[in-house]
Amino acid sequence: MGRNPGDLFIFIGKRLLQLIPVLIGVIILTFVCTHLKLQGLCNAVYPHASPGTIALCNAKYGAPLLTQFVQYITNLLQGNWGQSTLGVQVYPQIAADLPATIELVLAALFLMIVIGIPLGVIAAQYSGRWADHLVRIFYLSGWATPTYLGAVIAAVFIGPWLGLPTRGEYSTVVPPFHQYTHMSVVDAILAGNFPYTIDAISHLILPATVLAFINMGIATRMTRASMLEVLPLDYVRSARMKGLGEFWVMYKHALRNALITTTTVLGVTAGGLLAGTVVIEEVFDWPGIGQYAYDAIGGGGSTANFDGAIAVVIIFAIAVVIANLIADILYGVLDPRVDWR
Amino acid sequence: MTQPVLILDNLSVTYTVGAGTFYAVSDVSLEIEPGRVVGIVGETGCGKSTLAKAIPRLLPEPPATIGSGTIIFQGTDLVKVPKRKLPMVRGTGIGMIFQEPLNSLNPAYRVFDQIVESIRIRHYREMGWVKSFQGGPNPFDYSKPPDTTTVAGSLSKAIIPSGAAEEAVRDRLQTRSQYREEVLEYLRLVRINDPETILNLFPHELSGGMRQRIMIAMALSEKPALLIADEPTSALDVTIQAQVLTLMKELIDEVHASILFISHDLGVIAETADEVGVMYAGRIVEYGPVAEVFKDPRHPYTKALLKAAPAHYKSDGPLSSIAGSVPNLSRPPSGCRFHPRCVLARDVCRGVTPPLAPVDPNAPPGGRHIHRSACYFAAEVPGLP
Amino acid sequence: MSATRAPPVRRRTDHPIVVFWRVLRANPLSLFGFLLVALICITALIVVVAPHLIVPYGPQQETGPINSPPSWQHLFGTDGLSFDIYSNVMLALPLDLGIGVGIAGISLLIGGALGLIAGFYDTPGKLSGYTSVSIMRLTDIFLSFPSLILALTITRVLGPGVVNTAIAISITWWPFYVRLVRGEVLAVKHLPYVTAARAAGVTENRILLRHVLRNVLEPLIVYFTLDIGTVLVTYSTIGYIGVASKYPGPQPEWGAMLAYYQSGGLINTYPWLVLAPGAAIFVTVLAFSLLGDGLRDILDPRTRRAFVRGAAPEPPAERPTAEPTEARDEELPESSPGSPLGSPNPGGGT
Repeated sequence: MGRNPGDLFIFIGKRLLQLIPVLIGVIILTFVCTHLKLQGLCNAVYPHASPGTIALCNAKYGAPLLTQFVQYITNLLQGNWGQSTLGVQVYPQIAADLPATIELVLAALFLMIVIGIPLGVIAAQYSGRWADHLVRIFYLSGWATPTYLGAVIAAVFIGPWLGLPTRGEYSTVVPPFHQYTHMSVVDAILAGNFPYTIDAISHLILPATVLAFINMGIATRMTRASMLEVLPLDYVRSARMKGLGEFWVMYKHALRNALITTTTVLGVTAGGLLAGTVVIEEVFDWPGIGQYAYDAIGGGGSTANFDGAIAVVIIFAIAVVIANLIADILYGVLDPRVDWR
Repeated sequence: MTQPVLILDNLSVTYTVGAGTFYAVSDVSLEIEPGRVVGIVGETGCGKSTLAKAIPRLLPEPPATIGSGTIIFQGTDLVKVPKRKLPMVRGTGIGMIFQEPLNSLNPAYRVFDQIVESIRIRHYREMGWVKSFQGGPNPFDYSKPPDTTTVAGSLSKAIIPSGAAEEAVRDRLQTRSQYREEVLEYLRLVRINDPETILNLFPHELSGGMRQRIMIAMALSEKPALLIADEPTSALDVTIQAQVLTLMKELIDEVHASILFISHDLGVIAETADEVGVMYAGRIVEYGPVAEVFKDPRHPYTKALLKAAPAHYKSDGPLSSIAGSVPNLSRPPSGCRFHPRCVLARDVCRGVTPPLAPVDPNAPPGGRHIHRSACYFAAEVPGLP
Repeated sequence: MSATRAPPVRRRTDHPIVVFWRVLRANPLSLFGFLLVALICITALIVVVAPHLIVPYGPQQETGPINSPPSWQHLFGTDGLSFDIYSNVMLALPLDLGIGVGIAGISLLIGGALGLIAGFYDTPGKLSGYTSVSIMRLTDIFLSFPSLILALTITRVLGPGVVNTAIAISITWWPFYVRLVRGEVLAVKHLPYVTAARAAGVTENRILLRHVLRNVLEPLIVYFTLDIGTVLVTYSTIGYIGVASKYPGPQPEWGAMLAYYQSGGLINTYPWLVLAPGAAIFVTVLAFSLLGDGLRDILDPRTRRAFVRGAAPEPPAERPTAEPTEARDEELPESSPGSPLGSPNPGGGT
């Protein structure tokens, strides 16, 4: 009986093993989906390219699908993720861009948890009353706002109005210290540079807020639903009967159990958050993988970078899989009824 | 004469459902004196559970409404206490044991954390660190000299410091290990054999009987002035029921608390309570000392109820039942609510609700423990078959 | 035992439309959403059937004033080529609505069918079991992709255009329905009445159609309603990134409109150019979301109770009901003195 903390490693190890077939599937699927069209693929992918580029492309994608696949996997295993039309290697670029995106997504996730979950609690507490309706209008507005619209409005109207910067990571292009992690706030803190830390945070606020607002609905809605499920239960009543104030009843007893379901859903939002970065990083000029994806796909009429696009799809899928894994592990930790062995 | 811990005066509770109103509890008056155990007995849907939850204002309002009457707990009318102040009354003032032990413990916390939370609440209130309900001296009566020959007796001395010992405990922060000791003592009080193991378990790893013991320990650890036990044994297996009931009985003797004991089981009430109120369709129809009420029932419903109890099964042949059906409480019958099913019913019963009047006309007025019945023909009841 | 429980509660089976109205009445927000959705659909129909009634100008018609702010003449103003923004927004409505309904519909059909198969025919060790497992594995892998990014890439491969974009989104969209439907099927499959039907000799296919499908339909429709909005946002995002469709052109589309005006950096000087199509998307998606969110609240047993206030409240012990004697099994009948009460012939007293 009981749970042994050592079993947690077994629990996590099992989940990691289950990851392998999913990752293989992700790579195969990406390959298939990006090679759906065999005839005239290069013309579609590079509409504005020179005949030379097209010829180069055709040489690469003209081979039988299986040959291409074997070639692709071989390259991937050797760390060769292909190169852009301009001949720039994909992998180093992505590796350099990834931390900035992780920082942005984590900041948005933080806001979703800190704002979205309490909102869900309030909505459940006053369900059917005006506070509940207000919360629902709020999160449905986020749901209904197209990412680019929210980002553009924030960048053009809200940012200047609040005096917040709307472009880049820092006020200067290159900060006066070495960027170890490529996460703006973390680097500034590591360098012990206080003004730059403030600067970095102020640059992070707008994009993170927009990203969080767009995806808030899922967290709030799920918290609200699971709170409504938990609130009529007997143990909430016994907590009340202990003489605990309503705040502790809600947040210590009810929310603790409601969070178990909410956690799983937060893992699912990773997909939404990552997809959101594609537009948000472009609008706010955030040097992350989302902006890279925007350019690679050929957003805004830029030259497409097909290898880069495929790489981004795989990277994003892996990120989602890992997010779900973390949510799954958290679920196992939060719910004492889950057996770790 | 001691002041009652709880005085209910003409308490009525209604539920509003859509356009209809459901009269769950009507004009219930009751007094509980310190150290007394008052039982409420009645069949499913008679309003006894609503009554139990209405006292600490635990019913969701709406749909429930306390229509009229007062709940005087230690001199304060709980009906008038604003919602945000209610937590101060609960726990240390009024404790409660629920009938669903399976779900009454929070599945996310270990037993230790849940009991320690109760002890902390009480501790902080004793210290005056947090505001608590000031209703006069705590009549949770431990004055009975502990019987040191029994395990529980020697424990209750340790658990319940009084006088100088209490002074010593006051004014200092308890450490985790001190709390742990206290939790262990309460677990032993409810006869848990290996409290050290149980402490670290989650509720889902415990049996129903064990969980109910922990619920009892949790309620007692706050030393409530009044303990409400709402069918504490009903949801348990029969064998476990007996064990928990024995424990309850022993604890009642030991801690000498004021208890409102709700049950549908006449046997349980007979064994535990000093006084009993019989509820029918939201009203108390008969009230008095347990022995008198059960030996000499003076309301036709009580009589029928006793006759229908399974204890009579063997001697009386087929199990008897009461003709008619339980009234719909959204349209209760006029006058005496039992009249549609009563063999004694006459015209007067349909008109005016009979008051809960002393059975013995010579009884001293204002006497508390006298046998009362809400029947116009109480004198004829003993003659019924 | 001479005692009987209360007579079984009669369940009135109301017409679905009656239920629908009751649901909407209980929740003002979803009622508002419903009215908005109805208005949008009627407007779209008018635009298709008789555009001259509400659309004053053609998609690429030069109307004279350049970059004029909103006025009675031009409700949402005009752009740099003097095109009327209001007309373009209106002309885009049927297309965008059709995209939302169409893609969600295709995904519903494909994903729903696969979900039914995966959920219902899952005997382990047989062909059906393997099919079920492979469907679920494929679904899981698809669900790992952020659908926007995969759809974007597929659109890029297939080439721009409304149809290609729709195909790309559909490819990434159906797995959500597989998961939803399979979950519902598994929940329904082992309910007592389905087991009873099986025991009575009803064939599997008939059980699937008569019992399971019917129960799956309700949550499916609710999810579909919500999904229309999500599809619309995704489509317009692809339009915004500039892969889906071209603007200005004979057939305007909101996302493309927004991208076109925004890329010109016009939002500071002529904000209506960006805000008008943006607001159109926002209002449309919000309407479907309000409706779907409210419906889901009421169909979800977890939230239903809290929502239909007054219709099914939850007083703790004695549950008041309009039906006379609905007994609750909380008190054990074995030792209960109450259980012998209530004879089969009500009114037999006295």
